[in-house]
Amino acid sequence: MTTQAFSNLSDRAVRWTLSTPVQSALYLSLCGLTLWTVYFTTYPAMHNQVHSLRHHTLTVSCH
Amino acid sequence: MKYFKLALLVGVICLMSHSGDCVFSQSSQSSVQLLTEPALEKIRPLAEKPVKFTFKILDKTGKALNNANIHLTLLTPPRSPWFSTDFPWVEGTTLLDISQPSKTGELQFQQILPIRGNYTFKLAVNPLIADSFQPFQQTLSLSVSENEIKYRNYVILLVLLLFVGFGGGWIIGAGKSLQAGEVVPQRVRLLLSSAIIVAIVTLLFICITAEVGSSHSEHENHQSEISNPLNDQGTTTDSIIQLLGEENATVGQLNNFQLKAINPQTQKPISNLPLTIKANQLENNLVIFATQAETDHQGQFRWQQQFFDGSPHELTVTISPNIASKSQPLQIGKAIEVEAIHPPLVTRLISLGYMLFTLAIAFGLGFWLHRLRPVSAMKR
Repeated sequence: MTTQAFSNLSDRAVRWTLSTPVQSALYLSLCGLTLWTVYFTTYPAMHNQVHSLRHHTLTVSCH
Repeated sequence: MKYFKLALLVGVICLMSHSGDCVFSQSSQSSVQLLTEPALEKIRPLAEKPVKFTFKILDKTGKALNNANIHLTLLTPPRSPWFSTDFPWVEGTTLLDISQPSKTGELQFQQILPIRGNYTFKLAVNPLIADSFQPFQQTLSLSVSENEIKYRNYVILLVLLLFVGFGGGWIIGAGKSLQAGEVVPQRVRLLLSSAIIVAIVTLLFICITAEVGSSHSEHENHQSEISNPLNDQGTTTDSIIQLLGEENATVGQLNNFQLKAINPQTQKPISNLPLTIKANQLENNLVIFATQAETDHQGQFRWQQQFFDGSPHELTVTISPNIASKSQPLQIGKAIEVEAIHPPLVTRLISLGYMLFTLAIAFGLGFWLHRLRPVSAMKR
């Protein structure tokens, strides 16, 4: 009984994780993370590396 | 008598309002002419060379007014968090405040304009010789357009985002077409894996190149500090020159500087000493501000300026010797460490929001177009 309940829960978790809305959110989040890293993070080492690109892109601010 | 009093009152009010107009009309008679190099329409923010400004004081006939003290305050464009500039902390601040006596009625200086938008020049002109002309104030504005390359790059970025968003939506939109035994279609798995790889490669590339770059730049900075020490006080046979002011600056705030010149023998101030002032941004070897001035009757010259870029700067003052003197030109200066302030989080989130919105719109479009496709096919 317990094994069957666990299996059901596992199946539901897998279905939810692999559902279309979650896949869409994952995809957009990954793209957002890449954009944030390249254009907006203030971590000095990263900022210095993409400094010129940021100064040459509209709406992207620098220090 | 009652009517006389009323007429008198109206007359006084008219006179008061007229005297107010007088100041304005005086300012419209004597005026300030602004000349720039390059031409106004060619000025761009953060250019490689500073803009050369010349303010000419003219009387009502258009002739130059000599012997004028010109006080200028340069204000940056107002804040625009919804359409951020390169330096959000510079928006809505004072970039320069300078007061200079001029025998020729001209004020000249060079200044890098850091951001796009409308700059305001507030000028107050006073005669050096009493009553030679009426003091007046004038406000001029200068509109600076954004660099064209920024628009081009942003369009490229938007096209890329539209492509990535539409492609992602198109692939995920086909989620219902599962093969036997599949939980997620293979194309969706490939898409998500690709996005993960892109994110990881981006992070890795930036981290590794940043580590290499930072160790190089640290080494170069140390070398430049050692090889070029600056002294803020200098002495010649007939003068002691001292540059006063803070060595630490913050983006968005004005810094006070003062130059003092005294005669070592008499301990009296030296007036009319020609100075060449220059502020360099060391990272790109960029002249951000330069002017030529003279010390006043107290042997001083004061000015306030803002350092808009959070990087090391160098302020140098070259003192040209008098024609009668045989001494060499003297150069003194200060190393200015400018504290960088990161752009406000809200401003960055707004800009990221625009990019994500574009991405999401393209994603939704791709998703729904793919979902609608079989239906239209069935109808046919």
